[in-house]
Amino acid sequence: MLDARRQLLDQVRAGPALFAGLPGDEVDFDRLVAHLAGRRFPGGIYATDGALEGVLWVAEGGAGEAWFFEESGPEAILPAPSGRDLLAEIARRGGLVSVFLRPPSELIAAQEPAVESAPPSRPAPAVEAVPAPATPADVPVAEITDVPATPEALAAALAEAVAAVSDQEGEPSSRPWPAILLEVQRRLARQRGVKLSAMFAQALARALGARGGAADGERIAAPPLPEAAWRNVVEEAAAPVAAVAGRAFVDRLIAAAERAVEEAEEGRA
Amino acid sequence: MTDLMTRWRWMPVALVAGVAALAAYAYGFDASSLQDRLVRHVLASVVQVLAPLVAGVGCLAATRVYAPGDRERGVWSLCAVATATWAIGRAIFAFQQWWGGTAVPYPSAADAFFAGAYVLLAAALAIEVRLVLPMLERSHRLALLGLGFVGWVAGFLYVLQPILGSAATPVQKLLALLYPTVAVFLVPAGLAPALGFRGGASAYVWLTVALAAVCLAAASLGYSFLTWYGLYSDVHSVNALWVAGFMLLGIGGFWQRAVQEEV
Repeated sequence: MLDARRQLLDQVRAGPALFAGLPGDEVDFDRLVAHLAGRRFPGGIYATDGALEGVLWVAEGGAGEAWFFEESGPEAILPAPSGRDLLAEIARRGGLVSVFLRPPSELIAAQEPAVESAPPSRPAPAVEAVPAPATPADVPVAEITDVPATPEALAAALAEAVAAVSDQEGEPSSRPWPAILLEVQRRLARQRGVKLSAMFAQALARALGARGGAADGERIAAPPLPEAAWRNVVEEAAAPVAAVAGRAFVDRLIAAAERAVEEAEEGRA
Repeated sequence: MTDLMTRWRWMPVALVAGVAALAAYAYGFDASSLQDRLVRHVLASVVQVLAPLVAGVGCLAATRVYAPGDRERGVWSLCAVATATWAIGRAIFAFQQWWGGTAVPYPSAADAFFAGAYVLLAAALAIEVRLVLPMLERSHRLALLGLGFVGWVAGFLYVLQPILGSAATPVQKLLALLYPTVAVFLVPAGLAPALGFRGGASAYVWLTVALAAVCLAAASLGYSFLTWYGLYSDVHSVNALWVAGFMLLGIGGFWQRAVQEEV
C-alpha cells in the first residue's frame, strides 16, 4: 500500500497544478486551505523540503487526510489539522509548495485506511485513520491551469491564486448584490437578448456555486460574502458579456443596475 | 458633456435625412431640362461620396461607447474605415467621369478601393460573427450559411454566369465575381448577430446592418449587370441602393451607440 500511495502522489504531481514550486515561507496555510475548501477545489496541497514531502487532500469543501513520505521510505497518514501543521513546518524550513488537481477518485477510494502506515522517524502528531476524501466528478474547476512553464505563467497563476485568496478577506458586504445581479441580468436580456443573458446567468451560477451559493436565473442565494468576493463573482459572471459587448458596456450595465436597485430601495423606504 | 450630447442628438437624423433627400432628387425624378440633368448628375456624384461618409460617421459614433480593447469596437472601426475607403473610391470614380473623359470608369483605380472596402466590411462582420457564434444554435448557423449560398447561386445563375462566360477581361470577370459574392455573404453575416441578440435591442441594430448588406448586394449585382450590358449611368436608380445600403449602415452605427449607452 505504501507503493500505491507513493505512485498516486507521483501521478498527481505530474498532473495539472493551480500553482507549483512556490517558496513555502510565503504561504499562509490556514488561508490557503480555507480558500481551496471554500472554492470546493478538489486536489492536494503539496510541500517538500527534499527530506520530507507531504500532501494534504482537499475535497468536498473540506480538508481530508494528509500523507507524508520520508526520503528513506517510511510513511505517515495524518488527520487534516495535524497534516496542515506538518506541511507548514516543511514550508517554514524552506520547502516548496504546490497545489495540484485531485487524484482520480477511484484511486483514492482504493486506498486502505491508515492502519498500514509506518511511523515516521521524526516526531509527529498522533496518527489516526481518516476517511478518504470524496471527489465528485462534477465539481467545477474553472481556474485550474497546467503547471506554469514560464516565470510569466507562474506569476499569472500566483496572481490568480492571490486574488482568489482575497475572496476571503473582509466583513460581509452590506450591498444588495443579489438584487443588483438580477437587475443586471434583466437589463442584459433587454439590451443584448436572452442568449447572452442566459450565458451571464450560467457564469453567475458557476461563480456563486464555487462560493457555496446558487443562482437559478430568477433567484440568487449566497452565504454572507465580503465585498471583494462579490466583486470577483461579478467579474466572473460578466466575463462572457464583456467578451462580446465590451468592458465599457459591462461597467455601464452594472452601474445602471446598482442605481436602479438603490432607487427602488429608497422608494420602498 | 451630457448636455452637449443631448443637444447633438438631432445630428444623425439630419445627416441621414439630408442625404436621403438629395438621393431622392438625384434618382427619383426625370430631368426636364439640360440644367436639371446637369444638377442631377452633380448631385448623384456628390451623394455617392456623401452616403458612405455619413455611414462612417455613424460607425465612428458607435466606436465611442466602447473601451479600448473591446472587440466590437474593432468591428465598428473596421466598418468606418471601409466606408471611408468606399468614399475615396467613389470620389476617384467621379473624378474620372468628370475630368477623365470616361463615362463609366470600370474597371479603374476606384475598383481597388471598392474591393478594399468590401474586404474590410467582410472582416468586420466576420469578427462580430465569431463573437456571437456560441449564441447561435446549429440550425441557425446552417440556415444562415444556406441563405448566403442560395443568394450567391441565384446571383451567379442570373447575373454572373453570362459575364464569366463572355469575352470580358480577367479583371472585369474577377470584379464582377468579387463584389456580389462578398456582398451576398454579408447578409447572413449581418443576420447572425441579429439572431444571437434576439429579444434585445441590439438585434434590431444588426437587422439594420443586414438590410444594408441586402441593399449593397442588390446594388453590386445590378452594377455588374448594367456595366456589362453598357446600361449603367451615375443617375441610374440602381445607385439609390448604394445610398440606401450606406445610410442603413450609418443608422446601425448611430443606433448601436444609443443601445450601448441606454442600459
